Amino acid sequence: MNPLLAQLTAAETDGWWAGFQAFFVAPENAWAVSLLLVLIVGKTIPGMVSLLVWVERRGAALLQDRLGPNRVGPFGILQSIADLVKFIFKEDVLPGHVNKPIFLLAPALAVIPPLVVLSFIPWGANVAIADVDTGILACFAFSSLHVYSVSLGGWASNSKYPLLGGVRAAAQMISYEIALGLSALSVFVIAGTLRLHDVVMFQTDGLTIAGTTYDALWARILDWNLFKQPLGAIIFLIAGFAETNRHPFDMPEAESELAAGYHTEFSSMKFALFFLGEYAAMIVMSSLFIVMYLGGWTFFGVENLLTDWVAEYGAANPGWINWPLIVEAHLHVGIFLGKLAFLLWFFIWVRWSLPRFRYDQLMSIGWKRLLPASLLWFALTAVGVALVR
Amino acid sequence: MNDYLPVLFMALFGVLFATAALGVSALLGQRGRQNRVKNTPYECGMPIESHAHARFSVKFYIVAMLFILFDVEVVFMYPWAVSFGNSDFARDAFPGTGLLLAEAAAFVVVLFLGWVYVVKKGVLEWHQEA
Repeated sequence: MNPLLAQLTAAETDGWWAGFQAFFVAPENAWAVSLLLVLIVGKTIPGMVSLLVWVERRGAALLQDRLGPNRVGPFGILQSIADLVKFIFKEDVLPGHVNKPIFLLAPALAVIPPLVVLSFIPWGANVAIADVDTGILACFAFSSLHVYSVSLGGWASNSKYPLLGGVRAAAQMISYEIALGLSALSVFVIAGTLRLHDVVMFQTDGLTIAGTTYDALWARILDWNLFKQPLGAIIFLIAGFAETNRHPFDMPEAESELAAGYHTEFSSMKFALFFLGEYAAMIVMSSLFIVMYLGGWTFFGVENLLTDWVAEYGAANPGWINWPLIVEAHLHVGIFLGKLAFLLWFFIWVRWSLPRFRYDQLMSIGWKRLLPASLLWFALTAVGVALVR
Repeated sequence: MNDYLPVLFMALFGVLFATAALGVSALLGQRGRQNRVKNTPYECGMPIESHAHARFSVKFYIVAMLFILFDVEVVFMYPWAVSFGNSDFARDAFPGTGLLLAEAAAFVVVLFLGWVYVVKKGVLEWHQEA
């Protein structure tokens, strides 16, 4: 055992330290652990978003050969903090022509659903705030509430362009939700479960072809749903871009046509909440993509490096907090965050590389291309599963 | 139901976070003077033309109706997908894999025919006048 950990646990076998450990280990106090995780995730997301905004602005500058924010702190990394301070102290304009309760409700609704969805994401083997058996359905149920913030925000503004932006956004988001749901469906046909933890495990149990299970590295790589569901993954990713109103589908806030779309009338922290909501939704979509197609917290066996240590420590110290388990959780979350960083960069990369679609193109891609393609893929998957079995 | 208790915690956290953010901004924000021009809807500085709640294309309503039809059907397919994908269930179930597949096929074909009807009707043609 690690000598430092041995010292840590042997130091006090009674007193507050033992009581502290016993409290968190007791099954009836599982809520306390959940509450702790809620606070950690809930506090991390705004921080992650402010970092992401900085990365987006620096990334845009990099791709377009300009400087980007470079004044506040080294490489301008504190720019988002400065922006936050400004958001707080700017005048909180509540225009006279708006529907006040709904005008205030809309920005709040932009933040709450993505946060709730993040509580279903398995960040590691033992790190999920709520590991529920409805899994992906619960995620879709809450993430589709996001459309309310956009459409209510546009409607409550009592202003022409926000209304148009809100209506467009609502139509876009619900259109792509069908393709999103249908492409995800194929994953659950092959996995046979909706629980996200099991979907991740399904991608690490080795590739089974005609009754033989292969466990070599190539099989572990091909076991990711990305390779078993290539078309489904692409459709899911495209629909995810549209669902989060990101380029090339950012019609709801097309500046050249709609001023700023649904959030034209919003200022100060109300605008910041919409902004936070959009980036949090990006994190949600990327996380779902990682869990469903990119093997979640696993990385070809690296995630199992500490399993022996965890088991050994757990057997030797019953009734104690399993510290190696927490170290392992950090490893898993680290792998997950690595994948998340790549996908978020992909979102930014696409935004600054592609031009925007026209609205009729956007609707016809959703309804006339992605919907039949995902239905076809679903049929192929079902027949394939029946044949292989 | 205990599984969902942490979700409630997270929802409460979200509500508190949003309320705190809006509250901080309302308390600490700069107080500016109100005037008539500032209180008008933002239209890039032009004088406001026409009422805010102008009429917009009926297509948006049709898209909303189509969404309800198609999305409900997609949700219906989820229980099927899980039972079909779960090999133990599919083997032991009364109908067997073939019949399970045939049932889904019938459902998907009806859904697909509905989609063909919608496309043929020109509902998704956005460049035409409704």
